[in-house]
Amino acid sequence: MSDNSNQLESLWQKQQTSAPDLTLLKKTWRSVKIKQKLYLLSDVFAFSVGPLILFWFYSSLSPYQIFFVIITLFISAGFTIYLIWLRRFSFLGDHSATGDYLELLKSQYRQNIKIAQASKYSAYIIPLIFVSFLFGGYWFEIFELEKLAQKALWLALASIVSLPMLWIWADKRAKRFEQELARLEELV
Amino acid sequence: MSKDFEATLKEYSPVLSRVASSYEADLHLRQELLQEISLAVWQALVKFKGDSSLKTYILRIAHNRAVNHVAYRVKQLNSESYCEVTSPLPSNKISSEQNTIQDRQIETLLHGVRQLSIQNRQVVTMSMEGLSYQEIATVCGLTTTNVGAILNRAKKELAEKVQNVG
Repeated sequence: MSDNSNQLESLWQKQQTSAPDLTLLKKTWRSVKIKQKLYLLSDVFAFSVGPLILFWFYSSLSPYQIFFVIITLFISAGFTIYLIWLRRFSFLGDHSATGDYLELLKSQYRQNIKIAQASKYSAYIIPLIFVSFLFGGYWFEIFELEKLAQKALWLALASIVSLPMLWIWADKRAKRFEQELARLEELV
Repeated sequence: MSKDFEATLKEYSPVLSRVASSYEADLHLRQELLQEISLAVWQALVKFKGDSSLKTYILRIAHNRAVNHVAYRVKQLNSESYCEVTSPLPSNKISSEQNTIQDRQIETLLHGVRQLSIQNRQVVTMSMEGLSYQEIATVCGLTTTNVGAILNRAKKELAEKVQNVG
């Protein structure tokens, strides 16, 4: 066993190796830092749109519209907290013991599948929110019929363009994570 | 990138390259993996607290990053444009029968290592990098008994494969 071990080690150490490209590494590192800052900025911006609308347009919004913005804020806050909870495993580092890291990675993939499925379902929930908004506007006679029809048209157009794309993108992501999880489980 | 980090990466680049080769047969993807591993190591070096040897720490980061790559590779395997290039890098050495047999033995060893389960692969390659049973056990989250059992079995199989060459 010891001779075998020495032979294997000797062969292992004799294999040809290559070096990382340090110039490319520095470039990649700069790009990673910029992306991280941009993601953070976009998260902050996405969260602040609702409060900013309330702050700037408060006097020109009807009580119904204010109510709807607040409800939407609560729903998106809840959804964001849920996503952060699902992403909890990705905050833990690469420096875990390798056995733990494997389990962590599998958990991360399972959560990513749930996140992608949640994004898919949001493609159904968003139109419901729009319809509720319009129906409430009609029921409580907040908007004139002509304006209501205009809003309905714009929301319908926006939904027809963006929601199928959201659903397809989220569906592809869910499938990709399922394949990656399956591959990892095969190799473990 | 500070000079210390650069010096550390240069010192350990052969180790990182061997880790990459234990996960990736394709030369182009292996070089990409080496870049990813090097980036992960560079990011992790700032967090190194000295509670293990630097080599052990670096190997832990490298293997964890390589596992990400392996799972992600399913995308490339499904792609029609993917083509595997596995021939070794051109050698400047004068070709001789000994070198050819040795090259084939190395390829056989690498192929055998890549067939191992991830955990066994990590244990065996860390052993071939000179880590002790205790260090391997700490890095992999195993007991030294487990490490010994894995090494006995896996090295025996690999040695048989290598001896059948040439």
